[in-house]
Amino acid sequence: MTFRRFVHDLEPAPAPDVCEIASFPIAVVPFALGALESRTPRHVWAPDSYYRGVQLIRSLQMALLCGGLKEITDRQDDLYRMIDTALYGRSYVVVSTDPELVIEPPIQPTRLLAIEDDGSILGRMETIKQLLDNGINGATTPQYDRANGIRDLLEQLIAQVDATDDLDPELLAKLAEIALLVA
Amino acid sequence: MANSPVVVIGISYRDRGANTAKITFYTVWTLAIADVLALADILSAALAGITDAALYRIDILYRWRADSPPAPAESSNIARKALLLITNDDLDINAVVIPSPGDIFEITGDYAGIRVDLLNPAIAAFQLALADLDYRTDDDRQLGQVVAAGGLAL
Repeated sequence: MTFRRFVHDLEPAPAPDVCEIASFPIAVVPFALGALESRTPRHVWAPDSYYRGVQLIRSLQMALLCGGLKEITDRQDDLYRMIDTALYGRSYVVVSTDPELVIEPPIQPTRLLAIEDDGSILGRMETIKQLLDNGINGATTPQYDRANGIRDLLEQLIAQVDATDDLDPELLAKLAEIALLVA
Repeated sequence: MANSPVVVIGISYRDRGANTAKITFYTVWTLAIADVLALADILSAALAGITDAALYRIDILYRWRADSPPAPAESSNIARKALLLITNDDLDINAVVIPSPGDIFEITGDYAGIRVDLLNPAIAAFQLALADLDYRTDDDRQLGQVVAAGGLAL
């Protein structure tokens, strides 16, 4: 024997309404819409609650159809990829757009501090660091391997001038001052 | 004769136990609504001496039935439904349930097959009809525009 319980005299919580963002599988939308629709007949609600009750139901049906949470998370992913590319130079490729957007590589939970393109912000900063390290100190770096840095050349110059002892003392003092600045 | 256009007058009564019953009369299709209302008043006044239940409602229905309706489409199935959410002039949301919706759903994206494509020409035409004519909700609000719509699993 089938037992059917008729829902009636429902009363929604009083206003004001606090809103919440929810995550749901889109496949459930038609069923949720249908379940909510079964709560829209007038007899379901207490006489004074019908208008508000049905408007609450309609607002949830609308939210289910309009979605939006995935768009927000998609934009977050877009933002992550933009920053990842700008900072580290990681390249992302659109693999497909239908039936859904697929971008490779997928976003990982953690990120190594590894520069993937010299044109990125960190890549350019690394290039400048290597340039300074090699140019001033003469250190060999992956990108720069000039044998003598500015400091080495100044020391060599000062030593040479000291040995010959025929340079203007004022010019010699300036050379010593530059050597101190890059020390 | 059953399929001819007709005006249906339903006069409803309620007893002390809140039980209801309806007496149905029919009149000619060509009568204006004011004349049908007058007829309903006369009928209900005449019935007042016959029944001691309380008159609480009169329904007037102009009914037309197709004598030879066209064959439904092969894919038609009224178990499938679409829910159209429509604003009104008081910014409430009203709903119309469409039986056996055709090819009006989105075909790409996450909501493909689930959400109605509001840019579909048939939906756009419906939208125009709503905007142009004086369609009302049951609480006498002017219907506005379709803001969202989707398949309904009832």
